[in-house]
Amino acid sequence: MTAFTANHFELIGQAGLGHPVSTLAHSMSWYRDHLYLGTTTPKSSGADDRGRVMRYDHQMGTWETMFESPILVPDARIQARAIARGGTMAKKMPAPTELGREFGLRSMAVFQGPGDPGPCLYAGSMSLWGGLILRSTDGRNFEPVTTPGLGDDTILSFRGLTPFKGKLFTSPAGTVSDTVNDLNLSPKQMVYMSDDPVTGTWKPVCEEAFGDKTNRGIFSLATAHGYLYAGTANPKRGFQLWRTAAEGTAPYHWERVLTDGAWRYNHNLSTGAMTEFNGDLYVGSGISGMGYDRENDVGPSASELIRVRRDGSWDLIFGEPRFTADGLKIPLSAHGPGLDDPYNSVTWAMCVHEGALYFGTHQWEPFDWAMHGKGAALRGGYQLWASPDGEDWTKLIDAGHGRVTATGLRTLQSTPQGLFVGTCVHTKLLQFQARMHSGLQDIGEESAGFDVLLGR
Amino acid sequence: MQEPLFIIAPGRSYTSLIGGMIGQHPQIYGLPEVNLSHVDTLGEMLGTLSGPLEIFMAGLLRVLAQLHEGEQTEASVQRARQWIMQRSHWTTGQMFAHIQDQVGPLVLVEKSPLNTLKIEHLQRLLKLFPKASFLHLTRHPRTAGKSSLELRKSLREGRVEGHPSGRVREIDPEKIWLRSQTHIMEFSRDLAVGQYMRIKAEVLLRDPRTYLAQICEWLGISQDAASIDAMLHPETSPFACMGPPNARLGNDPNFLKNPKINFDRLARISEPPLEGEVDWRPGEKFSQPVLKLARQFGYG
Repeated sequence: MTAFTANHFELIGQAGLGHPVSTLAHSMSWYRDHLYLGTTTPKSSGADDRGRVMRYDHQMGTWETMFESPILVPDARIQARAIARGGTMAKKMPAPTELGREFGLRSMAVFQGPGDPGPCLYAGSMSLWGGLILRSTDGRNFEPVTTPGLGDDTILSFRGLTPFKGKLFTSPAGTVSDTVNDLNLSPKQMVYMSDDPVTGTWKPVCEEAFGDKTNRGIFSLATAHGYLYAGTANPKRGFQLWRTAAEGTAPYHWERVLTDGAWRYNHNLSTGAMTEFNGDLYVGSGISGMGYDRENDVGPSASELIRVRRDGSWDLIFGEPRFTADGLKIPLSAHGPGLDDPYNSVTWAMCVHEGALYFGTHQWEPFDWAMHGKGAALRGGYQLWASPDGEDWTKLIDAGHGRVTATGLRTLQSTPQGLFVGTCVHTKLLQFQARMHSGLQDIGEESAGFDVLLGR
Repeated sequence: MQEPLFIIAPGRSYTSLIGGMIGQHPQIYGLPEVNLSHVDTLGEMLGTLSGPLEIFMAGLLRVLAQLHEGEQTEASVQRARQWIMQRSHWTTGQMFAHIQDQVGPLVLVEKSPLNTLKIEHLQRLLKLFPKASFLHLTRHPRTAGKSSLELRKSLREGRVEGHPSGRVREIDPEKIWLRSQTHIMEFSRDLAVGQYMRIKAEVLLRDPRTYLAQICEWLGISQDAASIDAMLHPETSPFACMGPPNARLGNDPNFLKNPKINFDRLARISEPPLEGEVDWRPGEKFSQPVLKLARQFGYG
């Protein structure tokens, strides 16, 4: 049995925690007996679009801002990047004169290197100046410990901060330039490692794109049964899953475990959330956003969940049954892609809590209704699922926990105080789309900005 | 009544060879192309498959001759035709039921090209057999297109025995490929998980033992060595040869002339790139919808 029902989840923060432009509760970590939350605004167009680190006091039930991105004056190059990031609307507006250095914090991990006085909280930031990795030794002060983009300032951010065998690993995510602005695909398809991040020294530990130019990004890192796993995005062939024992000198020996989107091809465009459970690696998949990759014309498609054992064999947990070089794969949960919901485009967050496996989805049904609903009320919203054994799944939260504009469950964190849930809420965007496309003047939802829930 | 297996694909997708292989499993009865999905009654079928289209009656005539009389001769085929004409009020469902009665507990496998011509044809099959299994075979659009062009050239030149020579309409094979694939994908969307499966024909043919065993596992039939061995001999089917003069075809003419598996040739089946000019539209590349589907199927 899983630990919770939907009734056990309590809303402990909403409206972006007083910052409604923060649509995304992007990353979480349990540090110094507190929950730390990294937040992201969807764009970077002014001084209000600043990433923050929030801390939750579970005894008082209060939130405290521990870090707020400093405000910088952008030069012409950064202004051009801001305009590229903002799209059509930004081109009609005056160039910004002030910007938060980072507009989001997409990854967090607790790690202690030789140069750290104790366990430190590391965070990967999203920045028009090039992504940084920040470090805090006390949970209050956050300072960069890298150069922008590790020397390539067109790298937007770093994700997947993952401690493994005494080292810290990460991969670049997103591109920022005056012509390209992509939140996910990076100019470098690489895994980096540092054995002492405070020195600012990071080494590449794999061949670029794992030697396959069709790999366009490394989307996920996770550890399981003695390996570090890396999942790629590959719009032509579908994701690949690689692993290394990280032994010897970098770059390490890597072994390809899955290819061609686990034989679903490009409808498994990229890996999503990945985590170890009962000694196996669970690999989510998906296509970002609305399950459709516009640039490469892939999809729409719903996500899958795959279980990889230490010997490299694998099971399909939910998804599309298929014949493969590794045998017939029938979903063990008896559910198809997206757990039978075609709107579940990405297995977006996953964690183990009190012996059960949990995952949250990106669910884009509200966008479909906003654009094609002909005035009908919006429907849908993110889901949270749980399983005691990885095969038998129960839906704990449906339809965004009552907020139809909550389209994604972006982060999960197991803690001694319970299971924290961070969401993605797109109230303003959905309201705009509903008015534009379906004539719906009021979507009936006021709260903008992400929510945080606590299950206990 | 058993629920049949339908192999669905555009033409020139190795359906004859693979259908022939699957049809030789001891728990399966492999049908020739009976073309029953485009109409509701046998009377309608007699009406639509007349004149130059009469060749599409050959499969049903041959199977009835074989099942009723144990042989396919001019006389037995003629009697099969009369038998059909006397039952023009029969629904296609009754026709399938009759065939099933004749073959007993064996699972019918069928692969008529007309099945994917319109989505209504597929839906008609599903209405008749709500729990039928559907195996979607794909083939690279470039090799499928070339194969289609070659067959049309043979037809034009009167080199296909059993097919009336004469004018053969020029068509863009890529459009045919796309139309059928689109029908199949749209149709499959509403099927239950596991009712529809897709496989690249090239992958299956390069390693038939591996993938035939998986198909058997999916269908819930024996995967033992004897069953797989039997599937590697499609030539043993009574329909894997030219029929009598009044029902020569009922399947791909190339397969009927040479139904034995050439394993060396299969091992060399290649998947060319998707990029580059196509043979049927000089100077042009695959259309974007074709590229999109081909990549979804694992090509390129």
